[in-house]
Amino acid sequence: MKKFLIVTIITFFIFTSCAKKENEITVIYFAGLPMGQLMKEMIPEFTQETGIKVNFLETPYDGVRTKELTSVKQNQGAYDVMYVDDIWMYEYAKEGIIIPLDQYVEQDSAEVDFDDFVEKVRIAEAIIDDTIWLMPQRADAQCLFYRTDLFEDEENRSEFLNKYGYELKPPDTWIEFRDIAEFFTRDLDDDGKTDLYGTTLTLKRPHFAFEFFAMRYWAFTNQQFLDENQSPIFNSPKGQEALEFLIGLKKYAPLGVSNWQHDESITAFASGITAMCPQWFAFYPVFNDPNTSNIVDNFSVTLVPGMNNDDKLVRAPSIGGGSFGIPVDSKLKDEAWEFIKYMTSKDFMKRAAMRGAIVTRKSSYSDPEVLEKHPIYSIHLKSLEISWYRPRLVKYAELQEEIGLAVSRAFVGEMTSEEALSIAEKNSIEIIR
Amino acid sequence: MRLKSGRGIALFILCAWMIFTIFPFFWALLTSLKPPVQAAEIPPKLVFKPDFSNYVAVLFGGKGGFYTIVQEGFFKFFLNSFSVASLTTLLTLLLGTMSSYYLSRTKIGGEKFNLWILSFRMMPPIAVIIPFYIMLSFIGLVDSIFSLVLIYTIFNLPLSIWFISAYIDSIPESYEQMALIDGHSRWGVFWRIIVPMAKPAILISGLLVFIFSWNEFLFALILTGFKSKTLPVLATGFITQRGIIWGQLTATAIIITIPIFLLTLFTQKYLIKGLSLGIKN
Amino acid sequence: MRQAKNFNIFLLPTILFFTLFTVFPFLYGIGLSFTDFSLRSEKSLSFIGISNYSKLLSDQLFQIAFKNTIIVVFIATALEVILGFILASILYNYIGKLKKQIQTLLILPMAMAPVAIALMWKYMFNTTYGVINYLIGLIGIQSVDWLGSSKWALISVIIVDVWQWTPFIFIIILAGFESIPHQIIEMGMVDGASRFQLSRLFILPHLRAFIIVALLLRMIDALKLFDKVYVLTGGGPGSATETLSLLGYRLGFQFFETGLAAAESIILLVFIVSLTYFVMRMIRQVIKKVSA
Repeated sequence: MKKFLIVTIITFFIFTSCAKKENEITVIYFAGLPMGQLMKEMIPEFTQETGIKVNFLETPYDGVRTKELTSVKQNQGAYDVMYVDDIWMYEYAKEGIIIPLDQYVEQDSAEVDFDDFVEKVRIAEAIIDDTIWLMPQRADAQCLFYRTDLFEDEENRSEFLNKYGYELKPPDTWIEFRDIAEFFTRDLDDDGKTDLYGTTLTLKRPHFAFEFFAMRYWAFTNQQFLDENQSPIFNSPKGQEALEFLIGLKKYAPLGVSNWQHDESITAFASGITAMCPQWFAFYPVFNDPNTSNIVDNFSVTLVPGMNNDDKLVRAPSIGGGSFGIPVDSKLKDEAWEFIKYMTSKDFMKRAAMRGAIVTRKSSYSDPEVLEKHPIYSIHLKSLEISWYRPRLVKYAELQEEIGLAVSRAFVGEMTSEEALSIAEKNSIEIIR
Repeated sequence: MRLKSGRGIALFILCAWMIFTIFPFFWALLTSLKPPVQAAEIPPKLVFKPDFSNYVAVLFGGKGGFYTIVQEGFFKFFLNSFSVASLTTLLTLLLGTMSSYYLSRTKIGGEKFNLWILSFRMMPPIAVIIPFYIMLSFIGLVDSIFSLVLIYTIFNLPLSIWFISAYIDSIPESYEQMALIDGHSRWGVFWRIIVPMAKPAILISGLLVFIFSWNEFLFALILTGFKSKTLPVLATGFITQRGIIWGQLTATAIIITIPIFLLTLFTQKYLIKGLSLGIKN
Repeated sequence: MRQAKNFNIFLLPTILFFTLFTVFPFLYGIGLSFTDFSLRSEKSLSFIGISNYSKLLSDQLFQIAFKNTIIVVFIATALEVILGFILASILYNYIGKLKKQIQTLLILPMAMAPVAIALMWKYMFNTTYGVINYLIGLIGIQSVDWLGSSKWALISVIIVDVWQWTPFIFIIILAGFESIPHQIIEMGMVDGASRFQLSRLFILPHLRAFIIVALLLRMIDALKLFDKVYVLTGGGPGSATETLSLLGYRLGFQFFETGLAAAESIILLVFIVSLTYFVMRMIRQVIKKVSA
């Protein structure tokens, strides 16, 4: 009896430490993305064409980086293709997690046509110092959604002109944005409760707080968070001004924004309770779908507002997206490359664009069929072209945490902007050292 | 011995608390029965036509839309949770009862021993998880249900030993003495006398261990990958970057709770008896 | 003598198990806490003495996490013990029929996965589409920013904890009530003692053990507070709900600063042990005073 047990247990062990099948690559990807949906549909085609089987693992965003890093650092060799958020690119490259892809790109240069990727996308999501580390697949940029019905309403227009002295239109500067937000925060049915708010804010710790602060910070200061020596420079007078500005918007936003993630702000705008919504373009389909939106025919998109810096209007939408990389310890690198090529090809991009996903190739954005179906893409392309990328350093996660914490603290009044940013600055110096 | 005075207030408090306790379940159930898009409606609807599409989506997968992500393989994860919980329970009870027998009969213990047991419970998971993780990847056990079984057993052994040994203390030694004199081995005595008599304590410990393993989150989050994912981790998979898919999430939560609820229902009477005996000692 | 050897086998597997999987990782963890090991970095680790500890203890966020953890644990545990006791005594003293059914309903929260509970409450607490604000709006109270305001965030965490764990205390104390031998009560009543006297002289002392066990178990578990905060607030807003376990998790699994995370968890462990010891001593003193 005992011997039988031992044998069974050992067999079990062998079973679970599954040997990887021949010619099967393991791909880790973010869960819940429309593009993931398309990829799953196209994988059978891919396998048929190339004979490579794919183990497609959709993972919740929060766990992906942890899993990718541990897989490589602990020599687990679990993945052959990794999906990399652009903010991790620098870390992955410098810490030897992924391999450079220059050789692959060169060998297949005609097919890949690397220059077809939008330039800013290349800089933000693929290249560090002339080396290609990743192949960009998704590129999102922040933009401003707004309610056309509210903006075009005659009564609103005349009232606004009277009050503020200029025409009501989608704001070019953050100051105009604030005026409009103030204007639209109102109690519609006189019951003492505000029914309409000027704008949404999305400020949960840490990365929401950071990304939505960043778009204002960059516009106000026309600078990055760190200088060329990777020293923090965000605790400047203009930086504090940007934070103060953000805090000032609190009264024009619904209750609870300090804990909002994307889904709350999207729901708020889609259900019609806010006049504007600065958000990532990728959420456009939600607003356009009658099943999820009450404002389908009443909204539009424009570029994010900016600030006047030296007589130049600086708009600073953040860029964000995902790219494919090959981990150093993959044993099926060539096969991985085939997969990556396929899922970033012009054909794939066009299909994705037709579905309303946020692609990375110029050819997709200028394709007549795509433009006909989604004319609004031209705005997105423009946003991408003027976008800023977030700080590039190995310890990005820590920096994001510090600044996100500072923003959150100042926003709820736990401390002043100056104090919050000073603490973040002090900690950042420690971190980066 | 029912009291008469203060009955009114007592019942009021009880009712109020019961409403407070039941309401979240009620609300979760309601939400899971709404069509997916209605979950985040403002203001929340209280009356609507029940719709089982969330449950269908969770249990059987389904087509993905923008607001409905698909997490495939529910039954695989259900099996994972079940395997982990059962294996942990079996292992814990086996090792636990054996050790309890020894500790009870050799009279090691007393206050100090109880404290030692308690101290294991004090260990913050974070303290052991990192070295544990490194050890596991050494053996290559990371994305496997066995890693969870191991660590859950460790967490549950102390309390189980506490309960079971207390119970065994109350079993008179005379039966064993007679059997031993008759020539039976300790092992035989163990299986034929002790285990049947200690059943209540074993059952309760088993129940608590099973519930713990079924519901545990932190270790499962960190130690499982795709092959060994358990149900609680599955539930958090509905928190996407785009937003939280409340319909499916509440459906998952309800589905996860049902087995435990049934289990608790059936073992309730043992629960109280065993607790009282265990704690008296 | 052969018997003795046979008997030892009963304990051996457990001891082996523990040593391998508890003692060893624990010692390894302590060792790590004195290094600057970082799981993601290329450079090899070096011993840095107690600098991890000093860095943590002097870190402002750590101190806030410490404070928050204590507040939640004390308030939540106190509420749970009080409520659990009240509920148990109500059920014992006042309820005849339906006792079993009510019991089952009351311990329902224990059956639900902590993470599912946190998610459910997150949904209900939502300021725009959450049902709680909707309901209180119906009776004229203004919406509360449950999870997004520094004032309410910690309170919301406590509310969820109380909802979730009062049943645990309740059932332990109920077990205590149920285990009171009937004879004592009857004898007392025959002797003409009032209910109040009975309580003080017999019932409460008997329940003492149960209350203490419940309190200690609950307190120890509460100090490891993680699931709820992770799901509900992520530590925010600002640092209002930052807790020690959350900090450790972040250090270890998002920043991969394994040495620091190990040190943090050791500090947490020491804290839990000393607090437990302190509370137990206090209880003993209170008992001495009462019995006098």
